[in-house]
Amino acid sequence: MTAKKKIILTDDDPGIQDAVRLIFERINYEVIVFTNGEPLLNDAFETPDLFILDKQLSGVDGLDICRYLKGRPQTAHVPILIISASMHIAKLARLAGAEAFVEKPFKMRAIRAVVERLLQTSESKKE
Amino acid sequence: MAPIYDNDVLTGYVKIARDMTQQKQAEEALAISEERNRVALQSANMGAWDWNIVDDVVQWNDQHFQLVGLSPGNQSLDSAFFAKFVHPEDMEMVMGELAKAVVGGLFQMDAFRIVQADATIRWMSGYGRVVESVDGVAKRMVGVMYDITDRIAAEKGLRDKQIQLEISQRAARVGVWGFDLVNMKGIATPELLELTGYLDPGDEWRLDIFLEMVHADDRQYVHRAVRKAAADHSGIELEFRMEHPEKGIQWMLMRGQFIPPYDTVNASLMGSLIDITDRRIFEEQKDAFIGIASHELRTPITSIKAYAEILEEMFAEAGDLNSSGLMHKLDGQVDRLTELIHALLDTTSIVNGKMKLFPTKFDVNQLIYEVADSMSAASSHQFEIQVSDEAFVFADRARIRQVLTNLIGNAVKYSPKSDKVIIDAVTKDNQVIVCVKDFGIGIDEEIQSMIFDRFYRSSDAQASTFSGLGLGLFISSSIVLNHEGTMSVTSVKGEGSTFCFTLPQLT
Repeated sequence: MTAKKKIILTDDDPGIQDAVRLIFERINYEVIVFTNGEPLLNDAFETPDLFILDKQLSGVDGLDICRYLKGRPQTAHVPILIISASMHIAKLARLAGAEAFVEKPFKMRAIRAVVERLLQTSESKKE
Repeated sequence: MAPIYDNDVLTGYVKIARDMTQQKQAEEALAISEERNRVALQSANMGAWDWNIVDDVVQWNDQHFQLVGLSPGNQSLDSAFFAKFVHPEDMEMVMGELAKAVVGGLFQMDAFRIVQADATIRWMSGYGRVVESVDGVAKRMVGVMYDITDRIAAEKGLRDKQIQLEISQRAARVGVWGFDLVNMKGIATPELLELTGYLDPGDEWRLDIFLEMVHADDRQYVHRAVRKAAADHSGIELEFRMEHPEKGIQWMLMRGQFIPPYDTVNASLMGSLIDITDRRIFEEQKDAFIGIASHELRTPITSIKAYAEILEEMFAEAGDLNSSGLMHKLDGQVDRLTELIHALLDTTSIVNGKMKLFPTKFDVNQLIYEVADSMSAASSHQFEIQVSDEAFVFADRARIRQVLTNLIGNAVKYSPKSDKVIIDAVTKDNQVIVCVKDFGIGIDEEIQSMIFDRFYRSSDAQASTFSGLGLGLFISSSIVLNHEGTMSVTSVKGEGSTFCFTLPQLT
């Protein structure tokens, strides 16, 4: 049996934290939740298979965290999915280095599909 | 002829003949001329006067008597009799001018008042000339007097209106501008100069100077609107920013109208300019509020939606299809809520001209297939697609998808008893024309022009059973307009509707 894929979710809303955790745990992922960007910026985490970042976090912009992670050799290869209730930021997310952007509210199937696609791409790069 | 007698005997005649023809002709000519003058004076309602200065004897014609409110008479009068009718406030001026005329030979008064016999005050104009003088001393003067009360009243009315207009323009802070379309320059009122803060009073209003005052980001948009109004002989209504040298950026509402050429005057554009900065600030606050509110609403909606979908999945896995079906319905309602928030945000950005487009090159036909595909799953209608080769445009794909989704969605919604919707696209005159045709309830002819208005929803008893905010067509037509396209509808009540929109074709 292969190890569970690990996702780090950073979102300051408990409702979103709970929902995203449920969405992915049901399909056998491990979801680690950070309520703010500090652990990521302080390198206080184990490298996951994928990051899900809310764009608007209290105190810090998710896009800044995205840029930080992409500029750091240990995490540069880890795919990042930006989620946001703001529309029309797909381009900004791409410019910050994110592999994908999903607008809130999202469909469960859609966000699962995006995450699976990103992981597959990342996996094939490793090989 | 005279007899000649010689001692009482008639011896002959002396005949003296004198040619009277010339005198007779002169007399006749004089009579005709006098008659002509009389008729002219009468028809122009002009009073004529004749003043023997030496004897101070004055004669008036019938009209002159009438002008002072008396019945015509032929008595001889004197200058003092005339003076009785001159308004006391104008007396000094009139008598002074007459005295000057005796020396200078010419009497001219543009406006003075006469108090008629019944105390009615009338405005007169007078003109006279010395016609006889001996050794440079005036002996006789003749002249005319005529009533100008109506003209004075009209002039006063015009002046009053002008003053009222100026006061109201000042009070409302409305600037008025105009320029002819040949020289691109013209008039500007003081309020306009004050609003823009650039031109000195007396400077002429010029399109190029005006455009320089417009904020750089809005300049092209304003220039285009002006050119369009001039070319189409239409009106202008637009909001834009101007750079005020002291106050900084000011929002303006400009309205204007094409004025066709007349006489020797060139065709022009004329209109008004109003400072709407305060309103824009309120609107921006309102937009910011709607933006924040909708952002905040999306977060709990995301959770609700996720819980509904997870539960639907769990019920389905457990084989409880009733419960999973209910959860599916709940999820559908959450989607509707999301759409409403989207529509509110879209409307806010459209109304404020802030709809951002992200254009790319794409084939409209392919998009039609995509939209029809994604909608056919949830619809019992058949989508019949009729498209030709390809129809490339440079447009915001997501926005055009939104338009198609709205039109096809409406076609389905308003044709519950039919099962077919036809979507076709053709290219013609560098335009891609997309039409969505349904066989539903149709739209009354008199409301067809209103359905693209914001918040318009049919008040029709049958149509009011359909839900919605009434923003869909407003948003769709605004999206199309922002792409320099047009949207239209043809419909027959009870037979169905066809909505068409155009987009500039990329060739």
